[in-house]
Amino acid sequence: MTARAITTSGLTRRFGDLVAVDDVSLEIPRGGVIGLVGPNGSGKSTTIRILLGLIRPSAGTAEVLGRPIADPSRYADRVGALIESPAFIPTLSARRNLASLALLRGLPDTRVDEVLHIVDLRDRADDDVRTYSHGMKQRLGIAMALLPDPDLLILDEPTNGLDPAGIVEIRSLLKRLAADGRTVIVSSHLLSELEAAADYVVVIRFGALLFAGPLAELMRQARTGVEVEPEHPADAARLAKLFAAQGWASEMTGDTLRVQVDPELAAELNRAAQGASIVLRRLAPRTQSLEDVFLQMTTVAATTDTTVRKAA
Amino acid sequence: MASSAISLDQPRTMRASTSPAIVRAVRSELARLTRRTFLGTGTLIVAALTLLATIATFYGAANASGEDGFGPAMMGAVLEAPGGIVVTVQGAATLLGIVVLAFAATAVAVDYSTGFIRLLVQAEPRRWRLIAGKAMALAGLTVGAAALATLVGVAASFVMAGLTGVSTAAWTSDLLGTVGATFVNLSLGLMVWGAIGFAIAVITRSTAAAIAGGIGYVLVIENLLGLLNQDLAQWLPGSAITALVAGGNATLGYGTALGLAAGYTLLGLIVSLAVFQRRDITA
Repeated sequence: MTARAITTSGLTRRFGDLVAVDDVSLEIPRGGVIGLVGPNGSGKSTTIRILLGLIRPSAGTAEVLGRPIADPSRYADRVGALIESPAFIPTLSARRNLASLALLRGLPDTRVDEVLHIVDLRDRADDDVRTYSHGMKQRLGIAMALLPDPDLLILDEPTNGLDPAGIVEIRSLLKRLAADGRTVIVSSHLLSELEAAADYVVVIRFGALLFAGPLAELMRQARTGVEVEPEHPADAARLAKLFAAQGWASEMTGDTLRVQVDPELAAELNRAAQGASIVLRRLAPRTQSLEDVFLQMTTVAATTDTTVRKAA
Repeated sequence: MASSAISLDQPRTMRASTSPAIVRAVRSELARLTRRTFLGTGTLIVAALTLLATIATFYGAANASGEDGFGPAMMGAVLEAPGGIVVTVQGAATLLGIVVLAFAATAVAVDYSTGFIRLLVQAEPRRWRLIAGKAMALAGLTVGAAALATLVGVAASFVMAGLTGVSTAAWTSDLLGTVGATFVNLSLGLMVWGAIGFAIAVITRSTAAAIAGGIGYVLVIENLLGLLNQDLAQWLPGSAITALVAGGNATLGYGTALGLAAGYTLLGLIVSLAVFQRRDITA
């Protein structure tokens, strides 16, 4: 059994002049929750479609579960996916939609009941899907992805439309699936969700790979600092000058100063403020979230590559 | 959502079916095609069109003026001949063909409009199996539609003959042979219509475009081509279907019509397969 869930080498896909996936080479380990992150139009869905055999690459190679994407039938029964939005026949029940796919995959009827149970749709399983709420349709999409009991599960925005309780349940389900040895790739704009669930992160922008590695490694790029808020807002500018004189860079957001120092230096900041007779209302260490790091990373990439990427 | 995931606690022995992949593809298609709204509407339309064609033919024969040389005596003779029992079914063939074309086009295009096609290709990446499975499932339903139309047409013909005074004495001389041949020919003719709708829908990925294109071609473009060149027109799909359903006519013999129909059906399937096999699934 290969140690990699996915391997790509120079994977490229062009649509006319547009390069949707640009020379992406990466290795995604087996097992765990993998976050696939990127702005809209960054090439996430195209990459997923290539891996699933729905779209052919213009160049490059890839392997899914150790099998080449040139022959997706060699891994199709071990992969389940929800791409972009749930797909279903609206005038059919959830059970019949699932049964149609189960028949095609050669799965027993009991598997349909199992996935309906997992996503908690059994009570409405025989109703037409057109009568479902957005969240219920999303659950059906997840059920369809789970149908083959996959080793590799790819979910595009799985929590889209779910209520907070549903989001927590999905997060728990993903972790259980990963704990059972499966690889779960989750594409999401809710970076806080990924931060809570992902072990490994792939960041894509303009079709190009910006980062692929453990979440902890990405988060090491997170800037730390201390937020300082003086009791009197009028003191904020004076405080900024005072800190600058000490060599501590800061930026002002409203009445709050974000000082870019190690949080261990919080006491020093307080002492400096006291020395200038400035009373602090708040002094709090702050670490960038995944969202901050992502924005910082994609913004930097955008400023260094402002041209619209075209095929050479 | 359920707190305990059944699948996670069970051995992963999923592939229980020993059916050949192509049989699974057909059964999967039938699970979707036989949905209430789709099948119910189709059944109703096929029965209603055949019934209307039968009523119109018998009342038309009874009320015709004869000025066009096809008066009551001549139409009555046609209806009272041994093959008169299936005249209305043959007459409804074009309308039924349009229904089958629309049905096939919708069956294909709805997979694109709903995005279901990406689930199908994920589940069965050997795309030719999906095409073959859908074509075989649709062929089965087409045979069902032809059987329904034949039954409704024959039954209604007996009723209408009684109401309009048309003699049915000759109908029973070879009832099974006549009705059976009409059923087979109608099935084959409708399959050509279906193949046209199927191919156009695979190419356009749109129900409306497939129906408009298919009907527009057979009813308008082919007639225009016929006006320009009659020799060419007799070889085109519409003429071949008409001749096939009639069991051969003055323009095309039965064998030729059958060969042409088979060729057009095969062509439609080959084009569908070639396009589907190569095209990206972006739905």
